[in-house]
Amino acid sequence: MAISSDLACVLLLAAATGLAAPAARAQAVQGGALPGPLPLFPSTNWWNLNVASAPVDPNSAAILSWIGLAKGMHPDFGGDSSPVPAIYGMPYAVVPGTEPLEAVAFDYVDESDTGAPGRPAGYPIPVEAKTQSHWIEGGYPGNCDSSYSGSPCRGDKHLLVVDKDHRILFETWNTRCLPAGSATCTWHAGSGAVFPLDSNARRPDGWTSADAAGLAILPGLIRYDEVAASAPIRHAFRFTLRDSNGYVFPASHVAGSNPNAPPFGLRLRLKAATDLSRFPADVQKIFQAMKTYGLIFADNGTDLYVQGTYDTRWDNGVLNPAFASIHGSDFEVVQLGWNPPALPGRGPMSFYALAPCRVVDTRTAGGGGALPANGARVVPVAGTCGVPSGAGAVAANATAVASGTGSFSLYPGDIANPGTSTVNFAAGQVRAGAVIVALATDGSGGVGVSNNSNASNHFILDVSGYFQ
Amino acid sequence: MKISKVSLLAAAALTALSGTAVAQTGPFQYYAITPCRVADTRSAAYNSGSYLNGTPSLPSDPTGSLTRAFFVKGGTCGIPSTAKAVSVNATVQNPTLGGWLALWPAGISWSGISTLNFPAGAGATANGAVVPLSACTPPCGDMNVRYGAAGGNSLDFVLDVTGYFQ
Repeated sequence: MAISSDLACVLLLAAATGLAAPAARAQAVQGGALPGPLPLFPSTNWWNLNVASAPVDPNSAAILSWIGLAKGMHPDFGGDSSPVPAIYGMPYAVVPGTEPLEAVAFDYVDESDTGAPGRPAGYPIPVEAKTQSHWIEGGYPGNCDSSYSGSPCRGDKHLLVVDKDHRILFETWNTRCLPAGSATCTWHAGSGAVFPLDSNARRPDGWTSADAAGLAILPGLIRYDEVAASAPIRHAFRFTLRDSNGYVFPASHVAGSNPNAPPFGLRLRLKAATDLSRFPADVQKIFQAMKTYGLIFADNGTDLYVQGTYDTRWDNGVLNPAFASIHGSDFEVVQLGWNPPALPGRGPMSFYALAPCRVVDTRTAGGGGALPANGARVVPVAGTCGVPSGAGAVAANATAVASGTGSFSLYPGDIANPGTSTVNFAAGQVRAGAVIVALATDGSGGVGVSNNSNASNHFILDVSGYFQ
Repeated sequence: MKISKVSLLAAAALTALSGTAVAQTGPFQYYAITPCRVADTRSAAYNSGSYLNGTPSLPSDPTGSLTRAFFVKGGTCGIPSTAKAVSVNATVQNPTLGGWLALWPAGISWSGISTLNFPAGAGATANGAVVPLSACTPPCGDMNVRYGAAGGNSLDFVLDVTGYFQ
């Protein structure tokens, strides 16, 4: 693994001045190796969903007409810009699990995460990002003064950090370290969101993230390493349009109400018949991913701008004309909100009754503890209470012993929270609801339960039978 | 107080729903799907094409004149036109008065059953049920919904499907 050029400079400086090298601090790496398996997030996540055969939205033609059939696409990324240290594209940092957690003061505190579930509050922002370039979108150090009109470091200022050991993605928007100019500044951001990489948890409806649509940013960026690798790219990309109107799954947040504009979460798919043979192989890979996984509308911006990472190896002399030659008319709109049944009718199955039996009670020892606020857990069901490993679904009663208001969603344990709900509750209530829910097919035989609440709540699951 | 008679596990028993025969018999087999939102009066975002999406809140309907038919089959949740019943989770949102909500197959009269009861001021209340579907396929509605309360108010209604019987 290459040492970053910044560290090399520090070491050279230390040697030249005769200073002792500082105590080894595990290194935060700009654009470092992401923890596998890649692509980021489970294979069932919406970013990794194969939409090649998804239905076309009935309003596809009208939406594309609004976007502009003759409008060309643009790669909204690249390498260094001018003046120094301005950059194109979004940088990201990969840090070890020992990276100190920094408090971040949020402008939109109600829709921001204070830290990762089950971890102390704070974001593992490398200390270098306070005073050094190229850690934050735009390229300027965190303590650059963006408070005045005309400041060079104004912009979206996204900061993307992956804790590779805990497998958690931290993202902030409008990231500033204040007071400006200080090396001992503290972090402020417009909003911040934390995404465990092994979870498909969606932001609560109505919530923003570090992105306007409420989605994670990093999984939707085109990265140089994946374009240069031999394997195909296996995820969708993030893109912008000039205006928006509400949202559809998988987005969760509204930042526009233009009745003519499409919603956040809209997915464009490059038509399968589009001839890619005229492009270089690496560009073909990018465009092939647009055919298979598509583009997800994630922020208001410029029409058909597609985002990627900051990397000095990008060649915009090749990318710009290639992207510009793909037009609005080359796309189709996937059915809005498309969230395919991962189990297209798993059956037929017959019902088998059981002596009603408690699978889990988080209030008891061994129950795993209360579900954390806005957290999710997979509860093993097959193998308990007489539910066999071959069961495909269970008939159950889900009970909430609630300390806060919200709802539980139950779903097969190997997929994303599909955004449905099973039982709703208010603070102080004990509420139950019946449900038939499919079990995971990944061998765990589990049921996923998401606690859609800003409080931790206890969960009980009783089964009365299964389908097989 | 109306008591739900829609038993979770006894879809076939619903043939005895009322004097108006439902032309469905068993035995049916169960098919599980990824839980999927088919209807939400609050939002046009959901995708089955159900007539309820983004419509005004359900008005209180003590006289039965305001039953709404909508469809579950044929949308992107993947419920096939051959489905005879669905396993659902129904949610009411923000009722100002206590009341009840009923789901039953389209094409027949409401027989006095209820699926879900809720108290005044409840933010959201949910329950699971198995509900038979009429033989209709879209654009013909296959399920009816109505809600009643002592006085006239309105509430929002959300329906998620977790599987079907056929």
